Amino acid sequence: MERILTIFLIGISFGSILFLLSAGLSLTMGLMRIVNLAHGAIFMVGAYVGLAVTNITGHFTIGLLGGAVAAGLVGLIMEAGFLRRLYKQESGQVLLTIGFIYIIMNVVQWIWGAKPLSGIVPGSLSAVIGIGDFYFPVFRFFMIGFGLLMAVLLWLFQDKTKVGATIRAGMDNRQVATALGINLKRLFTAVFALGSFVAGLCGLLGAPLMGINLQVGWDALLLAMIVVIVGGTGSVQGTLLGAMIIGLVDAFGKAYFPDIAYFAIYVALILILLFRPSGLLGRPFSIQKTAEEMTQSVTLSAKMPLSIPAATGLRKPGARQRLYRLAPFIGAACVLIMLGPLLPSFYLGMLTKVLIYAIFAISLDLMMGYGGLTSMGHAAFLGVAGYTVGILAVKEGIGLFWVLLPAGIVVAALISAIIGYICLRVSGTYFLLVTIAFGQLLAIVATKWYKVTGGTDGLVGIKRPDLGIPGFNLGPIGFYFLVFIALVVCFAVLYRIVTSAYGRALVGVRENEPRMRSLGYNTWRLKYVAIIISGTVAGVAGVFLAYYYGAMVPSTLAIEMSTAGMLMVILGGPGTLFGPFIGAIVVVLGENISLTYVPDRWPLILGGIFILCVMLLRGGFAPYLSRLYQRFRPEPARITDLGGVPDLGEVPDLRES
Amino acid sequence: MLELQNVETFYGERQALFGVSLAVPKGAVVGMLGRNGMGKTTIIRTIMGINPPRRGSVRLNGREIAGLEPDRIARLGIGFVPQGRGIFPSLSVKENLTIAERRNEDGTGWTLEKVYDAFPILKKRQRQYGNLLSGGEQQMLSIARALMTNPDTLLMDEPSEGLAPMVVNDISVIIRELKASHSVLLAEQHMNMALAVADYIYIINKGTVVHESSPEELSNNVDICRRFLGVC
Ligand SMILES: Nc1ncnc2c1ncn2[C@@H]1O[C@H](COP(=O)(O)OP(=O)(O)OP(=O)(O)O)[C@@H](O)[C@H]1O
Ligand SMILES: [Mg+2]
Repeated sequence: MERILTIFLIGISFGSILFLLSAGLSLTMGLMRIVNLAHGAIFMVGAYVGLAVTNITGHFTIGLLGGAVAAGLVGLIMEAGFLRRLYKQESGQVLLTIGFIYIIMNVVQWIWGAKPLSGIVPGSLSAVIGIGDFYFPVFRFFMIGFGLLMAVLLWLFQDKTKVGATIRAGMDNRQVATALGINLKRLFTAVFALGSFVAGLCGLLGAPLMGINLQVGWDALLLAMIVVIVGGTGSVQGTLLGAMIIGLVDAFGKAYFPDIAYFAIYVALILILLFRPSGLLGRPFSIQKTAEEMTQSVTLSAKMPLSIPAATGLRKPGARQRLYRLAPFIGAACVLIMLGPLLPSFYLGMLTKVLIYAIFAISLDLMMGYGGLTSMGHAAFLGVAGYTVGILAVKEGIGLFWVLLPAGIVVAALISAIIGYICLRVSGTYFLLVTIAFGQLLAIVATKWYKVTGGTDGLVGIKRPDLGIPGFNLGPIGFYFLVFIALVVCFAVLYRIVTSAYGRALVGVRENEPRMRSLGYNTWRLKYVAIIISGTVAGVAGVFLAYYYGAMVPSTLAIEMSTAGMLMVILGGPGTLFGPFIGAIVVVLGENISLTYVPDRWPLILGGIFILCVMLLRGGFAPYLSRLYQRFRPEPARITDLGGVPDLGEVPDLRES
Repeated sequence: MLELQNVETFYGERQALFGVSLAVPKGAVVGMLGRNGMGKTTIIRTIMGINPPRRGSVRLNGREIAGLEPDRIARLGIGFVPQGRGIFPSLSVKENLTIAERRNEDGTGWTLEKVYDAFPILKKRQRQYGNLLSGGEQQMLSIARALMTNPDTLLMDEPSEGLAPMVVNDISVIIRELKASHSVLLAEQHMNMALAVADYIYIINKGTVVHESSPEELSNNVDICRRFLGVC
């Protein structure tokens, strides 16, 4: 009995911290309909600054406030300085917050170093209370009390004040709220800063449970996200309920099923998604965008250059046209072929990596660029394929490439079919969150399932592909060419897919799903197929990555890998295929150059590029390159050749045919 | 005075208004009649700034307002009564009213008390949540909410939609009373109601004005009614 009470209290105290952490995220998601992916990083700022202020002033309370103010300021700068400029472009806003994660984390590392710090418990709260045979720290009671107090305050604020009513009005119906004279932009900024403030407030408070280290930025994001999905967005009660459930599930899971405790909260998440995708107490979020908002998004994305390669060609392209269209690809292929034997081995290795990442990036482009399914868990597909190769090669001693490649691909396809099915229960920003959760879930599996995956040590000793030709050993150049062929095949397959009727229908879903549905398309199936194909191709990249490193470690599955893929797509140009390829070159080379000159500042640079790209270069490099190339076209201008031509007006006509 | 000149509005690439010109003089009730999907709501959303026009001008008291944000336009003195009423379901009746509240500079005009006097039923229901009201009550709340912003001009989009004839009568009485202090642009499909309250009528068809006249003249013009409204 006492044991259960103790576990219960542990769960509730963790739940209180989770509530404080998630309240702001829930509020901004409900009102602004975007997810601030940097929310965990802001929480982390609260913890670090809070600790520093406490150490300087000697007062824990001042430390808490200091952390909260710092976090609130970061939120304010993010919203007023950046997000606001992308008003109504929700996907751009979400991407922007990813850039901030990198920047915030790297700046924190710059100031405080990479070594984990430990949280503090003020002397007055450091006592323990005996519950039967168990001891329970007073500090945990303080967490519970503080969390509940804040819950009541936030609830009073949101449900009883005029500002709170205005916020709810904005959540209910933005359009009418603005048309009644409410300045929603100002409200967004205020709410965003408030949410960051509350998260920062619990950074130091939660430190004994969450730790103070660089990983917290991601951990906190994942936890907050799960709480918000379980509880539902936009209401204090929902967040509190979600936080307590997750806190208790975690505590009881750790106590009774220590081996699988890490999965318990993910199981809760998946159950909620399957049976109640809008959360326990939530308002439906993103799932039901009004028709008006859908059309607005069309108008907005019309500004963003998109390309539907060859889709709008009215006549069949002639030989010259086809040559013109293929020339850059043939040229690039020739360069890559010639570089193979010419490059010194270090650079050849780098180029091999570029090509592997390029496969990964173009696979993501099908989902993200063409299907509008922004995924932040794409590394999961790459990772499972890689692990399949690793397990078969290292544990089972199977060496034959012709077994390992299909095995990896099939597993990636299976996993994407399962994950895709669950993810498609929700859409928009929620989709993004769920993909993150799955990526993380698999990373945890890889870490914890020591017997099979080798845990954090990973699987080491994967040899270069054995092609099964007697007397032939694949060297670095041979491996490079093998990857090259894989890239060419993947590119060709994806190119065929996006230029087919299916590909055009997929773009239609991205632009206006209700309309496609009313035209009789099974939009769910269109998206589901895109996820499976995309995951399968990512599996190809995974197989080669495992060979490339000769090892598989859990970080290959993790969120950083997924965001790297996203960055390649965004930087190069979503919905163009060749853009993400260029993105892969830029990112891999950028990382290598930066590691040579400023080894610790690469994330900062990466985050900066990300933000610049989202704010200024919507559509990435690709449209500029294709416009440049179109100067050399052999015949008078026609709408499409290489792609990269914004012409959304054509899309509806295509769909109708 | 609210004035539209050659307004063209698009949804994405699709044009919905093809050069609409109309005027709402001070203190007048101007009706817009037209069948489903002819562009009445689009005209109102264009004025409100929700769907800004691509070409043409929208002037309020001589000032160009096309291209301003909706909240800015609202604060310049336009009250919005959306089609379908647009009540905030998670706000109480009272909150629905107070969040819109905006006083005139000289302190005159509508206040919560005055609105409650004019719509006693809202006072009785003030603690209820918006989505629990009846259709007629919701419509009154929507009008009352727009009044709380103390506008010069009210844009009303099909206030009679889905209401019982008795209730439509009540709404007509309210609109006629408002005429003393406000200009009103009223989109309607309910021809008799529009003819009863409006000083001037425009007929909208496929995104253009196809006829304009006084209500009396229109009620005598059977041909126009039959062609564009499908009645008489
Ligand atoms: N959000 C939208 N996206 C695309 N087209 C739209 C949208 N809203 C309206 N339309 C189109 O614009 C045209 C005018 O519509 P509008 O809603 O203005 O008509 P209406 O006269 O108000 O009709 P009703 O009497 O049914 O309210 C219609 O053809 C409609 O299909
Ligand atoms: Mg209408």
